[in-house]
Amino acid sequence: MDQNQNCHKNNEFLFKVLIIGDVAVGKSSIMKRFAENVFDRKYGSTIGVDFKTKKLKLGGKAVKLQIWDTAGHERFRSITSAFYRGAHGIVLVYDVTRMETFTNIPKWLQELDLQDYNCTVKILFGNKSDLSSERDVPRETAFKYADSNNMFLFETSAKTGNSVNEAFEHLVSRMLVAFHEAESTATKPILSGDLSTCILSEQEKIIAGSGCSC
Amino acid sequence: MHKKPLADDRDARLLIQERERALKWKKMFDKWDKYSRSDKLRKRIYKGIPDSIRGTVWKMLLDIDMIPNKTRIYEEYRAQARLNSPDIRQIDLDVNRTYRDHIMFRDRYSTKQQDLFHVLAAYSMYNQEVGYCQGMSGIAALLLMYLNEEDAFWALSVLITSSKKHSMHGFFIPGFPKLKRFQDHHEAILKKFAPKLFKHLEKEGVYTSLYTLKWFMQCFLDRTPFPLTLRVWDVFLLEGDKTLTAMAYNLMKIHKKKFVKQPMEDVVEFLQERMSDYPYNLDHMMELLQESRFELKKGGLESPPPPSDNEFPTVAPGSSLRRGVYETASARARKNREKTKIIQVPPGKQVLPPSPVSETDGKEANRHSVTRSTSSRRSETSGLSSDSNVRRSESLGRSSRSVGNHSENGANLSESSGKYSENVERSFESVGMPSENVGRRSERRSERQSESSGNRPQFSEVRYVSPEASVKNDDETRYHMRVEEPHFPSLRVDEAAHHPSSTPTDEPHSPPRVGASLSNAEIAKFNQDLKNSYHRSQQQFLRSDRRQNGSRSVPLEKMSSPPSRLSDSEPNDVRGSTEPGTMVINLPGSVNIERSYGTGGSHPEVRTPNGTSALGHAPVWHHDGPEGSKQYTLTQSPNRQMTFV
Repeated sequence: MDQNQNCHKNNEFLFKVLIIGDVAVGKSSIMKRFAENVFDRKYGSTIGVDFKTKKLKLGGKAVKLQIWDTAGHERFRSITSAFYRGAHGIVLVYDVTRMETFTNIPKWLQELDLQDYNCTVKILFGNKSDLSSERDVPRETAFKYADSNNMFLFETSAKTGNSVNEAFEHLVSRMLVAFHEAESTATKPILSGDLSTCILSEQEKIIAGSGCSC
Repeated sequence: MHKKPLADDRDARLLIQERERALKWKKMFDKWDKYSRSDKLRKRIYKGIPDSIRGTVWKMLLDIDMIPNKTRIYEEYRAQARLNSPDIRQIDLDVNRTYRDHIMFRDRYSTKQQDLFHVLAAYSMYNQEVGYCQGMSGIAALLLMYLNEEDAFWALSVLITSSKKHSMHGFFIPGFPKLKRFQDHHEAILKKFAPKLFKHLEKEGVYTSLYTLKWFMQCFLDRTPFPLTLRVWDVFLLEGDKTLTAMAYNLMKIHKKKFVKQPMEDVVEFLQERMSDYPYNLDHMMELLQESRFELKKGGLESPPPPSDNEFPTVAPGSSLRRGVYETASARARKNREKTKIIQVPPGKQVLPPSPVSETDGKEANRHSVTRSTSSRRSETSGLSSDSNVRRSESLGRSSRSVGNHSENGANLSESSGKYSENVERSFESVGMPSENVGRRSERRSERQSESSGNRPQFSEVRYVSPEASVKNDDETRYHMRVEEPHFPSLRVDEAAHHPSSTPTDEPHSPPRVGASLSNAEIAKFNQDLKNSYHRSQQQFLRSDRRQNGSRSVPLEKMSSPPSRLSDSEPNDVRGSTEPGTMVINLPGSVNIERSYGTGGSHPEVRTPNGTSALGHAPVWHHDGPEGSKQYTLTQSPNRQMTFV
């Protein structure tokens, strides 16, 4: 067991972040770029769910992110949707070079609504922004759409690493804000359930019970 | 994938051992019937199949050579898939990212990538209940590392549906019923044999569905080191899905002590990433695997509870193109004596001519296939041209001319054939394939068709007698098919049209004198004519072939399909103008993707002696490639050469 976690447990937050989006928009690449700062051109298709953790500090708060990367293939939806549960942040990814991945974003939002996790923080990634010559989704359209749906949009590039970190930092800060809001208005029904579990210490208590010493 | 190369790091002793083993295996091939169920085979497979003959053994384990008509059926589905497969885009996306770190799949649109694309596309049509599911690309790619395109397709087919002990159908269909069953069973095993680990994992939230998915669906591809995966695959092909259960338990057992102490992140990270680099001792792992199997067997948990019906295909795969599908409409018209009725080709099925001869109603099918092959021939002429409109009218003209002489239904026929070619073209357009590609395909198909239409009965009768005989006869057939090919320049149709009464000299399609209303006697006579002309043409060709061009009869002992492209070097107005180029796939409701999977039809058919399709480039095999140290140099058309080193 990681001892650092226990030692900073009062300051550390654990957030579960889910990456969803159409097939081959670069979900796995984004995760890999953010978690390990590498880009692997040969990344294969994700089957089911992949998982990585990443720690970062933001505004003096240590945050641990559990990033779940899901398969974009329609058929796996039945499997991946089981992992939506308890997510604090959702990263919706589309590919700026393929319009249909953008037009499918509402479908993904619907999917989330079906799972009833629409109280979580959502953020929109327009990936592959380095391929400017092949751009198919106009920036303005995308920003307009994001605004109207109360999401932030980042045009990222997992290949060059462009704004991937910024986007995730933004997501984390919004999750922190949402968490504090939830804490301050704990009785508010909209943010009652999921976010209260996001303090790491709560989880750590359980884990500590398994015999870890710190 | 190859963080640890397979062959380079082996010392000489191991190489010698492997060579000796390969020799032993080769002895075993001669008496395969005797050994195929023996314990010796099992032991040897657990010891590891030598890489140089792995492809051959896999093929034998899956009984691929016993599949009747495998070349024709595969070709048909492959052609069909280019036009109708709903999964083609997904397949294209996934081919782009399947084993790009392996030398065979590294280059975009390389020969093997094309093979992969075609295998998956054809399978998506062959088994429409599965279609294409992510995960299949990895399996197909692995098979393609050791088998040629056609065999890989059939191996996939055997693994997914035909073989009862593998039946991966349930792993890929929507809902994944078999996967759930295996995951539940894996949980039950952990509960019983490693309760402490199970409790820990449950508490940490490492659910079995998180890590076993790839294990079961792809039989440990990418999750264990590649050399180990190959060994597991050897066993998997022999023993079936019991291997999955045993290996999953085996892996958990090996790492149990570590997992019990680790939090969720570490466990999952290990299972998903680090395990594929873990320095396993392969032979030891295989022993442990056997032990695990034995342990499970003793505990009564060797295999999961029996499958429910929904894990199996409801319709037999391949039934979408069953013989006789095309006959229905025209047959109905004939039955109702509606001579004026235009023969309707069912939408979506236009592309493929019916298979010529079915065992049940040989005559009828025969009659139709001839009609069809001539019409497809016509359609092909239209498809081939870049200015297709002009050509189409030409071909229509031709057909009406040729038919008008003979048949009272000439007008109908020509109309319907025009329709056919139109249909074909329309469907080409809908997929956005350049017509030239399709033309080549359909031409090739029609050649094959024409061969089969008149002459197939002779061979198919033999071929169905016994599997042993079929192997032999296959080669013979193929040889014939191969040599007669150059006698099919596209002008034949025309000539035949002009001289309808002359006996067909060198071509099995004689003038399209078969209308919808020929009497049985006429058909019989026609068939006899075909047979005669065929024999004559063969003899003629063989003679001329020997005289003119010895290189054409390159001995390809193991050729698994007729290399129709050998006729590429023929001066041919149509083919000469085509070049394997870029194609644009315009799928409905999607953006254009520029793609160049070569040409659907120009896929070279020359096989290397061990059956690996190796044309197109001069492939220097990767050290772990199926060829071992051998290298095959094969230059691509128009002057195809083969150098076997």
